[in-house]
Amino acid sequence: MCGFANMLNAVIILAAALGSVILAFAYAGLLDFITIYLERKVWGRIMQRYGPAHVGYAGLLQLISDFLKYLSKELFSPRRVMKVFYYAIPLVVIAIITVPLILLPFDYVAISGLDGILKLIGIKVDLTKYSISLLMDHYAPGIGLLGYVAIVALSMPLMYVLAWAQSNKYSALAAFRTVLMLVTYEIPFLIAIAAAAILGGVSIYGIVQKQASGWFIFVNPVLALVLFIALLAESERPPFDHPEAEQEIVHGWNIEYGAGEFILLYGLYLYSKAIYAAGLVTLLLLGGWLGPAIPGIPISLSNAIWFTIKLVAVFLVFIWVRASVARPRVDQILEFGWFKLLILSIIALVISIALRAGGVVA
Amino acid sequence: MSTKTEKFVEVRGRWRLSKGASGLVRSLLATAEYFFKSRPTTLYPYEKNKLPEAFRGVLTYDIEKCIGCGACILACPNNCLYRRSGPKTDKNKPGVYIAFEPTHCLFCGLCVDACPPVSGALSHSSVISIVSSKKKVMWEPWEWAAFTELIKEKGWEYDAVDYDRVEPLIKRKAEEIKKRLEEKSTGGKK
Repeated sequence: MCGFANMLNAVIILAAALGSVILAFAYAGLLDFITIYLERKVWGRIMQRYGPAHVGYAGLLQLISDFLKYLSKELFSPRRVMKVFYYAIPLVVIAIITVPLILLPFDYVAISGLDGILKLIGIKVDLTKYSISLLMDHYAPGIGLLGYVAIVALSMPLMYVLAWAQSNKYSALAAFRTVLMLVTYEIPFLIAIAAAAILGGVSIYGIVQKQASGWFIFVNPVLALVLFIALLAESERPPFDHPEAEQEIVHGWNIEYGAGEFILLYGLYLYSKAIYAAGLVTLLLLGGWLGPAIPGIPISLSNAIWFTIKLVAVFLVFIWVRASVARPRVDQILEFGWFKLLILSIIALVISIALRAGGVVA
Repeated sequence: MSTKTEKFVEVRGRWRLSKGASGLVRSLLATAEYFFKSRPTTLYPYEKNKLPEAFRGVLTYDIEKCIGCGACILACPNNCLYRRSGPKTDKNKPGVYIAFEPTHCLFCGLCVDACPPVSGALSHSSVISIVSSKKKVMWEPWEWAAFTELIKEKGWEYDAVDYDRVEPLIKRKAEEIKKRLEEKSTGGKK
């Protein structure tokens, strides 16, 4: 009898967890929509243009119309490419890049948003405990951060294979540049993650709870600088968009692909990476979903709102940097990564250790 | 050749983190400044363009002020202004008005210069042009005056006017103006 009850419980948790995954997908789609729209609008505004202005109110539906247009295009492959890699790798890349949705607490935020809405209309349920990332974090703390690092490190070699499989000179150059970015910025990124973990523990939920007393961006500003730059480089946002480099190697790593794969690789893969980067900055430096309570709204909904606001704000800074900074030469990128960012990251690590050992951070 | 390469190496060697940071901050501030600046361009068909103050748009005609001297007819290089007789509204006015052919006008503004200061009936509006499917559009004085009054009423400033669409409007307004003039008329042909 007892075993049957446990089985039933497990099945309920499984169903709820699957629901949380689907919610996380919907939340990521919403974030994609917001960030791409904002990128087009704000970037245009900085260049004194209008950005999308005609489809829907102020161009809001432009992304959807673009998406439908791209999907209607022909699938095309050049003559001498490796067909298996050419068609399989984009799907593998997309499949892999959706995993951080449950490694980072995107599903927790999405499900707490739903929970808050249900509480607002009067249904009293506690859905947030079914979030799959919370469950994983409870049984294996640290899997979120480590898994995210592993996924990002895995996606770069996949990009190499993808670029190499296209049998194009430009994409080959892009492949080399991808590996260059990986070997240059992975190490400062890992050290910055370690510095954050020293301040708040390996569990993302633990790190966020610890920031209730003070955000880590104020506790350790050097860590904030290093993590921000390293995440920009990891997610290939400009000025670190060397694999793409439209002016030099004309979209390099996805040059041969038609519109269908382009929307997968560029619209979903790159923007997912950028959203994860903004989410990680929010979680590790800006206190995650913590924020002052909004009167009249349940705490779980206000959590979701604060997280979304912070993530979008970080993404706005990404856009700002993209609009301001030119792309450096490849050797400058290497020099900056190895001789400046690495040293800065070690300084950040030392500061973190000193703060923790000195008892400034409990 | 050798000096050039030396210079290149020197510039590369001098690049420092502090310098890079100050450049970064300056560029960030510059883009932020542009973000809050107003745009120089407009979404034209949906927003109206701002034109310079001295813009020479389609001519307008204040029928109440016109003294019928005919100086504009003499000044016009294209001969697109014509004399028309009408009701005599004032003892000092001859009862002569000006007809206008907007499709023939070249927007030179010589008639505006020639118009005597006591009258000041002619001026440029901010209407960019009259667009019509007809080859020739001829405005009797009252129609021209009607167009002048309709610019303000219908908000045609800073815009091109589709004459095919607004022709009935102008005709109707012209009837009103003609009636108004005839009511004011002192009578008699003189």
